[in-house]
Order: sequence, then structure tokens, then C-alpha cells
Amino acid sequence: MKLIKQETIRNNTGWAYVVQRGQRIRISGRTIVDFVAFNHSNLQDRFDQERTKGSQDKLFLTKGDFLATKANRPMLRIVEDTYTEGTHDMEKGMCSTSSYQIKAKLGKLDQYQEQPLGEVPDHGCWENLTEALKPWGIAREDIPNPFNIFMTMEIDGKTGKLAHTAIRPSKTAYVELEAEIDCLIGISACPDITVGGKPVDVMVYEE
Amino acid sequence: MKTITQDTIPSNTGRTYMVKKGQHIRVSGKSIVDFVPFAYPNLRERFDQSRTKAFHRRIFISTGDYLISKFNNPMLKIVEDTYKEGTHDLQRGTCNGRRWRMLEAQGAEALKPYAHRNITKLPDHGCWENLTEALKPYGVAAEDIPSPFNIFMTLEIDGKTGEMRDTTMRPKETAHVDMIAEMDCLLAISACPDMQVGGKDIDILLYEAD
Repeated sequence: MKLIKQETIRNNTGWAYVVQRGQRIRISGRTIVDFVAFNHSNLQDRFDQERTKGSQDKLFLTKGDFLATKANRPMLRIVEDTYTEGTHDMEKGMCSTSSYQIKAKLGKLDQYQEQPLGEVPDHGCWENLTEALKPWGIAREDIPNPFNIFMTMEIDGKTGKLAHTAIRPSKTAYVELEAEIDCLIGISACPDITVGGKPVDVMVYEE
Repeated sequence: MKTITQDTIPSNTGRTYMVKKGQHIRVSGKSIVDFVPFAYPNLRERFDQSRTKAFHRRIFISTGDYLISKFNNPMLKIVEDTYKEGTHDLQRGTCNGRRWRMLEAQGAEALKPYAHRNITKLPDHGCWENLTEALKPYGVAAEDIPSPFNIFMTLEIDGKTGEMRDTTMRPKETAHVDMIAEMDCLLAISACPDMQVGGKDIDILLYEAD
């Protein structure tokens, strides 16, 4: 194993990096991680929640499953997933200043009240990813909805209810992905206001 | 009621319409409709499935609910929804020829999901191509077409296992979804080939309420 890059992403900040085809990226943490990817040879071809769900007929990804681009191209494959308490999310977008503001305005912040809510953060994952991806000239509206690692939602397929939970890894867990094409990766250590965000460890390596 | 535009979108084609704030659009049909709004004139503000679901804390939307943009702004509000047999979808993207060609390359399995219809060949194009073509005059790239509000597309979803399955559940008789624009919008609409049941033409009515 040859280590290429190691990084700790502080809570409520973002980071971006290019992972070459065949390399692996391991993301370790205990709270939500917003993970986005772009086809490095065509940054307009982005990770796509719907293509990923649609082509595998499932809402949740785990070991063996792949992340697909809008052009239906498998971009990364999950080769390891040690999170066993819950599932990863592909329903939600990124938390953001505007999403907090709109919820505060409409009195909807109570949905996070698993524990007393302190101050609403002045920014969220959308702003973190926008900042991290700036060197690649990616506009904020072109940041796709992420693969939300460790974000466990309660979904009722009959009523359609989509609720936050406080289910997260009880000990540090990781998801490891292998790049099937060269990918620009954007990662945000989510403020995860349901449980309180923690730093996220990232390791890129070659077998 | 003042009719602004009345139109029929033939099966497996797409069209665009401009709707001004306060105007209504009624989409009537018996098979899937891929419905994609953009803010006008800032076409970079697009409809967003995830924002829409997060806003309502629900994976389905119906009467009283909003279509939300990536910037967290309400774009349209559903004022009437006569589809009672099932739900509309916010999980899938657009069907597309590109994916069908990929599946065909893998062999006969490609037709398996449609075995009940005795289909021998997949269409050469789908909603993604229809929307791309319809949006060309506005300079919207194929990659920038967001995943739609998939009207009349009823999926079976298991919230525990995450299994997501197509169904043949559709309106028995023509149903409609009526929306009022909360901002000026460019709407791109595709009458889906709807491989599960066979796509039909879709009727569009743009009007101003009294």
C-alpha cells in the first residue's frame, strides 16, 4: 500500500482533491460527510444521485455498489463500508446558509431537535464545497447533491415521510471507494446539527 | 379563466413553455411526464429534487407542496393533484438512450424489465434527449438538466431495505397536476416513453385564473 495523501478535514470545512483511476479514497468519521465527485476529464459530468439510485434500483449504497455520473458512467466503486448501524443518504442536498435561513424563517428548524439546537451555523456544506472547488472554476449551482456518508434518514415508502435521525457510527467507521475514472472529489465535514459535526479523516492510497 | 397556451406533447418528445409568476400550468395525462423548471431569466437556478424533498421532509409531493430550486426558492406550487392511485416520483433521473445502449451492450437482460409488454427493441431516445433538444434554443447543456419532478411515476419504495422498484401504477383515467408559478419559469416537459406501460400524449394548459 502506497500512501498518496492524508488529510483531516475540520468540522464544517471542505476539501477537494483529484483521485486517479485505480486509486482508493478512505473516508473515516463519526458524523455526516457530504461527498461529491466530478469526472475529471469533463467537470460538467458530475455525480448524480438519481442515476446512481436508478441504475441500481436502490436508495442506499454500500460495499459493491457504484457512484454514477449524469452520463451513466460508473465513477467510483465502494470497496469497503464499515458503517453497520445505519445507511448513507441520497435523498438530501447539502445543508447551506439558505437552507438554514429558509427553515428558520418557516419555523422548521425543529426537525433537528434531537438535542437542543444552539446557534444556527452561518454556513454549511454547500458553502464549504463551493469554497473548496473554487480552484477548479465550479459554480455553486453546479455542485451536485452529494452522497451523504453516515447520514441515516428514516424513510417511509408508503407515506413518503423523510425524517432525520441521530443514528451515526458508534465508533469511527469508514467508507472506502476505488476510482473507476479520474475524479475530482469534493468533501465537506458536515456541521451535522442533529448530533454535532466532528472532523473527518481522509486517506488516498494505491494498493 | 384566461387560456394562454394549449398544447399536446406527442409521446417521447419534449417541449418548453414560459410561465410567468401567478400563471398556472396544468399537466394532464395517463403516463409519466418528466417535468423540469428553470428560473427565468437566470436559467442557472434549477429545480432540485433533493431540496424539494428536504424542504417538505417527504419523498413525495402533492397538493399544497412546492417545487424548490437549488437556491432554496419555491418555483411552483401544486394547487391541484387529481392522481389518486399512486404517487409522483422524486428518485429517478430521466430515461435516456445512452443508458439503454449500455444495457443492450450487456445482452438480452436489457429488455427484461419490460417482458410484460413483449417489447423487442428499446427506443433510440428518451426523456433526457427530448429535454436536451427542447432546451437547445436556451443554451442549456444536457448535463445541466436537473433530475425532474416525474409526474404519474409511481415507484414501490422500501424505506428499510432501500429497494426501489418500477410499477405499472398510473392514472386509470386522465389525471392532472395543476401548478401555480411562484416565479417566472422556463418549463421543459417530456412525454415519457414510459416503458412500463407505454407512453401516451400529454396535454398542457397554461392559463391565468380569474
